Amino acid sequence: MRRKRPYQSEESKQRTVSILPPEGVPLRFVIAPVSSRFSALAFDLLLITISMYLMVFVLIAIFVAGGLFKSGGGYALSFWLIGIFLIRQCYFFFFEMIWQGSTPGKKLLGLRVIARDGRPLGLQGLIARNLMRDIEVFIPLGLFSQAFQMGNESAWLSWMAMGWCLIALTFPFFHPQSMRIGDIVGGTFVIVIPKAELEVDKARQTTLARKVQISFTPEQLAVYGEYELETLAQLLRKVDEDKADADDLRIIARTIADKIRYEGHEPLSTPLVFLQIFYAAQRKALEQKLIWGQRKANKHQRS
Amino acid sequence: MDTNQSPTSSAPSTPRSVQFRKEREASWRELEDIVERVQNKSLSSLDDRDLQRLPLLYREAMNSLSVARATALDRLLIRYLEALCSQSYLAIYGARRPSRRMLWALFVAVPLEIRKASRELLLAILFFAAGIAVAWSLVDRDPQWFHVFVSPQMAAGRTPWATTESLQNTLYDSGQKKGDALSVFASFLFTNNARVGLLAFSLGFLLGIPAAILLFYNGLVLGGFLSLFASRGLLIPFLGWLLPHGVPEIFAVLLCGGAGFLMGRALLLPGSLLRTEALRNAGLRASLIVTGAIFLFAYAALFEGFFRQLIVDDVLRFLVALLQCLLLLWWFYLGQKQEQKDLAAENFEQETPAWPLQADPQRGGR
Repeated sequence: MRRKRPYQSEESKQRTVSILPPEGVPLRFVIAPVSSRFSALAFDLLLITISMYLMVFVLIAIFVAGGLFKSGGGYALSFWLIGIFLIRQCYFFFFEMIWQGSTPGKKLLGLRVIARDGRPLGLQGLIARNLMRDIEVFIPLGLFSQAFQMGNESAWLSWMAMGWCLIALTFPFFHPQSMRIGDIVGGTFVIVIPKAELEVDKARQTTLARKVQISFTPEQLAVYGEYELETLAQLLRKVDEDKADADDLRIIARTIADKIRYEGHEPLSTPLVFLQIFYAAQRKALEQKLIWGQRKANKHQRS
Repeated sequence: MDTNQSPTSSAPSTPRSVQFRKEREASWRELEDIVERVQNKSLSSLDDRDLQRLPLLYREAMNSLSVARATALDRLLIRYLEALCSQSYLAIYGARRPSRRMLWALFVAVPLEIRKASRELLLAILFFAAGIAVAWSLVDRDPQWFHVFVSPQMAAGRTPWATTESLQNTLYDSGQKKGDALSVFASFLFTNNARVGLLAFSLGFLLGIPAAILLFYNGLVLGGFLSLFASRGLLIPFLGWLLPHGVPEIFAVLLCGGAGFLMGRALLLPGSLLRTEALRNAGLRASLIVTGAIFLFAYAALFEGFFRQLIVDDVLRFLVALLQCLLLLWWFYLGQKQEQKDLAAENFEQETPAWPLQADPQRGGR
């Protein structure tokens, strides 16, 4: 059983899914959390509502301008009926089709739909996942009123359907990969669009560090492992963001110097430079071993 | 390990991964730039040069990622490469804008899927027929049953207590309604039917029980009417009134029910597959069938709304119904032709470029 690494905590909170592209290098994607999916949905629903109202106004404007209301009011009504149906059923499908798996709401929150098997997102999958949206979103909204309104032989059917819709609505909260039913049926995931940012490497010394001559023996570099290396890297990143305390740096530098039995004044006089150079040297040593297939996970592991 | 190779390294020691990064960073940056443009617009917005560079750079980045995972101890570097490769992967393999050819392929794929789901369709027909039979026999014995099956709005005066003449009139009402009233009727019919059909599909998830109920219920309504009109000797005219729009409409109802059964079966009897996988397979197939059904509903509603009242001759009505059947058959024929074409193409290519590796989605989550 491996120890849980503190510097992974930010990552391990996210749920990921790995997909194997044809190039054979597995890629990890972060699954969109339920909260941001609901926000995206809310935004999309808002847009749908707005567009429905817009449609009503446009229809009224057209028919009033054309003086058609007396003769063709029925046509306006039928346009409205069909229009609502189309907007409701096709909004998500349409945008996910032309915007690489994102609706306006998803784009706002940086989400997108991908196929579970790693293939291109097909039309069928999109149709399936968005048909299921009907029972997950739209029907529950309409069912309450229907169940009371009809009050006749179909009411029991409405109640039954509503119970089912409740299951469907709460489904993503219980699913380990927070899929909704439409995702299962359509064979899709909703993921967070990855963002690539390359930061400055901590192992490239600053000019100050280059002037200082510090060297370590192989024995000194054989004490720590990858876990300690990454912890140190995090500390150095903190220094860049001006979040580190000078006293802390000194204490850490001294602890390291004690542990590896380094005898010199640098840990006390210039702790930051010492830490930077130690980090570079330690990483070089560990990477050298890695090439020989030897991993040293942490300081407790004997190499 | 030979420690003498690089002992106490000269003071500003640079790890291998720093060198590794220095050599490749330029090409990563180039890929980053191209991928960003694809994300903001689309693949087709790239010029020829970038389009050519993209797959090369992508493979290079994938290579870098795989090397970095094995040899570099710079977490930020690996994280960057993972994000970059994921982005490029999505840009290259993610989604495609559908072309007209894809839509056509979808259109002809529907009848194929319907044929593959013939067992479910048979089950749907069974439930529908059972509904008809039950309603018919019960109404035949006691007309009171009619009210149980048919709601007053739907009956619209067509009850066992109406006179034969008034019943006959409903069949040949030559349409005093104006065009716009008919259009409302048609669009209402379409949206209502399509929604019920969609419900049968999406609730089919519930072991197919709602689909069965829907089919049985629709069968009951039809059976009630059939029995009523048959008791007055109006069965043939009623069928003539019903079938021209009923052929596509009833077929669409059956399709939706069949799609629901498809889903229900996947959940109940997934076979050797995981339930999620079985559901996905069924969902992809059923969604095609339902799409076909929606178009049939739209077609039937148009027909019912506009043309039904224009044709009042019994013989003509049956001819139109026959024509509808022929149209459906033609659709199936198109599907079959496409299937044969696909098969021929497959044989010709010998080795279809298959997806080489499948990721296991169950392994992904942590």
